[in-house]
Amino acid sequence: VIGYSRPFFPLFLHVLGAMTLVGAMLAVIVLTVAAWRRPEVAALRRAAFGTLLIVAIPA
Amino acid sequence: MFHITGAFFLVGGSVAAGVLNVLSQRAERPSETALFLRLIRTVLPVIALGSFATLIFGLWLVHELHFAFWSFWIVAAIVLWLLANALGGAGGKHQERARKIAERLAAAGDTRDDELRVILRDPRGNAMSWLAGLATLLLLVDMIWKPGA
Repeated sequence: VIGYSRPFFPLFLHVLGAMTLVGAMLAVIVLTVAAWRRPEVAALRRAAFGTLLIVAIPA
Repeated sequence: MFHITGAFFLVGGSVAAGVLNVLSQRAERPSETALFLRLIRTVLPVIALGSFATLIFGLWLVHELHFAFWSFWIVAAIVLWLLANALGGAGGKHQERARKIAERLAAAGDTRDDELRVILRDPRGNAMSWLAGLATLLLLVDMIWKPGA
């Protein structure tokens, strides 16, 4: 319904960006909780920060 | 509102699973690969909830807003929904196989071998997950564009 009144491409990019941001933040939460439970695994902390920088911020 | 919330759960969960899948392939040690693949299972309920919410509330909206059930964009959406679920399931089975190998290697010295390398880089297995993502993306295009409506 919303799509009828708006140009397709800007709306598509806006919605896709919002959904990607939600997904990236979900991944960051999952990785951060796992890193908190297993502090000896440095890869989890690196992955959480990398996801925030590479996926969440551009989204 | 529930339909759009479901879509956010479906696409957001798929993005999170995709990120964790990429991380599992880039991990240095099998124990890390197994850990990232195990974490994918924590986002599966989000994808499942989103998947069913989009379908159920979507069909309800079609009824409420008096769209024709046999419109091209609605049939295309249902076909893409089925395709995304089937491909996602097949990709998930491939990831489960990789996780079992990674866990076995993690328990036996934690060094990568060719078996793990081959399954992580298997183009057919990975294609299932990426094609599921493509079907989800096309579903989003279809929902916003509504071709034939």
